[in-house]
Amino acid sequence: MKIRRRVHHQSMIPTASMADIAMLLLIFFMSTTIIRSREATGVRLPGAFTGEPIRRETSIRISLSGLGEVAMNDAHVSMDQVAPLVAETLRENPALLISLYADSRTPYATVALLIEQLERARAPRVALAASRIEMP
Amino acid sequence: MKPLRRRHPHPEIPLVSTADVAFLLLIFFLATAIFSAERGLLLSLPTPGEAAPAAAGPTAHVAVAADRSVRLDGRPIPTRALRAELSARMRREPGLLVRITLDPVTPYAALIETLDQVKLSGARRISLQAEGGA
Repeated sequence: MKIRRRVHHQSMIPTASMADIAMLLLIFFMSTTIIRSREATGVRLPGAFTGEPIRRETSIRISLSGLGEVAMNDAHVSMDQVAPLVAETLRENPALLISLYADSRTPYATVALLIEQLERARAPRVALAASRIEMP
Repeated sequence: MKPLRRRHPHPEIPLVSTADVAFLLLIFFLATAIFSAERGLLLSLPTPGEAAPAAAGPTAHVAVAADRSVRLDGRPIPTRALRAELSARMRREPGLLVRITLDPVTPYAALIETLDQVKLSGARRISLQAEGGA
């Protein structure tokens, strides 16, 4: 009987398409990453269990520091400028949501002043931003 | 004399290291990507001149003091207990209006904490105002 010689197949993982996959992933991350600009005002958000996710693309971002400094889309503005600026932005895109990033230490009176400005700008919807806390 | 024929070398861009560069960039983006965990408690603001929600019908009054202590209809209550207390009242009195008043110097965190508990209780009619003001 003829003994057949066993053929040893060389096993290898095909890596030819790895670069293509890397490129695809790279393009994904490059197009979805938002490079966060340094906050105009140092804001430490309070925590909350409830709340809707805030989409940056469809909102006007208003920050309020503990010292009462106001910034709109990371640019410093005075409290009195908020109403006209928001009204102007809403005229161009009425579907925008106003997201209010107030520091947890800010006195409520200052927050109320800002909300009053938003009312004057006829902003119908405001989201009070908070960091998400998981339910215990 | 025989003219020398000029040899044109085939020009090409070396692409051997492209994959390495792509991987390095990929690792950078993977390591630095932050998936936002920010949430927003939605409020519907009244238009200027619009009346506040009518207090007719069942109303629960939540008062937050400057020291962040909370009172429900004048009775002191821990903030975390608001949810259960209001849920029970909502079952007894559907359509309950929750009126939150805050001391002007109360920190914003207290407002969020209280509003969060009120929303968790399932209350849908919420009115927010500063103590002694609008």
